[in-house]
Amino acid sequence: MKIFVTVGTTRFNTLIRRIISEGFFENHECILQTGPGGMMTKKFECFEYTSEIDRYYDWADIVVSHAGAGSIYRLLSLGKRIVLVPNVDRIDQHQLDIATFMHNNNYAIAVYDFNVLSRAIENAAAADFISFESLEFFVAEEIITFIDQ
Amino acid sequence: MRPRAVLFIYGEGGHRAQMKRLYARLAPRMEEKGLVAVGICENGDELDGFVNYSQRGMRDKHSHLKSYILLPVRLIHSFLILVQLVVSYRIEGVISTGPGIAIVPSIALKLLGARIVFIESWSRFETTSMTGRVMYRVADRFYIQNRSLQSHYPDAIYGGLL
Repeated sequence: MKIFVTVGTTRFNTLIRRIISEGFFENHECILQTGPGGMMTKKFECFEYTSEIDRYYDWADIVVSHAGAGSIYRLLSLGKRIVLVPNVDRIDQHQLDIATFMHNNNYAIAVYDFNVLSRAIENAAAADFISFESLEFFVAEEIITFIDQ
Repeated sequence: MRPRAVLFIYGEGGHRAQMKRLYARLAPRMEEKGLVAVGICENGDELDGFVNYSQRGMRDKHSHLKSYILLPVRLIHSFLILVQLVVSYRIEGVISTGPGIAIVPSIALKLLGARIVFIESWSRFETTSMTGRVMYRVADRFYIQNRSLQSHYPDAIYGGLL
């Protein structure tokens, strides 16, 4: 399996450390995006940041992602199989909200306990996810009209 | 005469990503109305296309202690940026996608007659942000991107997803 791990713009070394140390990941092809100042390893291809993240999304069978909305909505629009790991290294815990929503509605699998991460990845590979639909932002005109009054 | 302007306030990461999408939709309409854009961004993570003043985030993402110690410095910096803005532009409106750096300029500019628009983060479904709760009281128009938030913000307007 090709697994791409992405943590976005805030480092999430607890997750990266787990992936480096767990044997499961050595049996798969993994690429890690570890964030600014994030942990590095010689075990897997890894980098702090890329401006061409879609290339890695395309490459991957499964994307293990922090629960940042920008990453999630992009991945959903590409129809990827997603395992969400809320970044609990941050002091604000807002990633739990979107992760829970995505999990409860069967758009993705959310993981709150690293001990079940590898099982969640296996489940995501076989899951019947629902495709995410949303209305595109439609109030641009009224915002400018309101300000210009 | 000072140019008529809309002030965009946005943080880094997801806040910036939402503002980038929002600005792309607003820019042509602003041009029609003769409004220019000016921005306050966080930690230098700025958008292209208009002048931005950068400031540090109000809260440290990894430490509460650092947040409390540095807050007064951040507030003073915020105020100084505001003075520069008001001298150079006639701010007609403030539009923000969060985070906390939006609060002080929004309150100050509201008192000076600007219209305040806040768009709650696209990452919120069943919980509200601290900035969102404050801005719900400050903003003249408060938009949500997920319908599930309506119960938390009864007067908010659903506007679709950026």
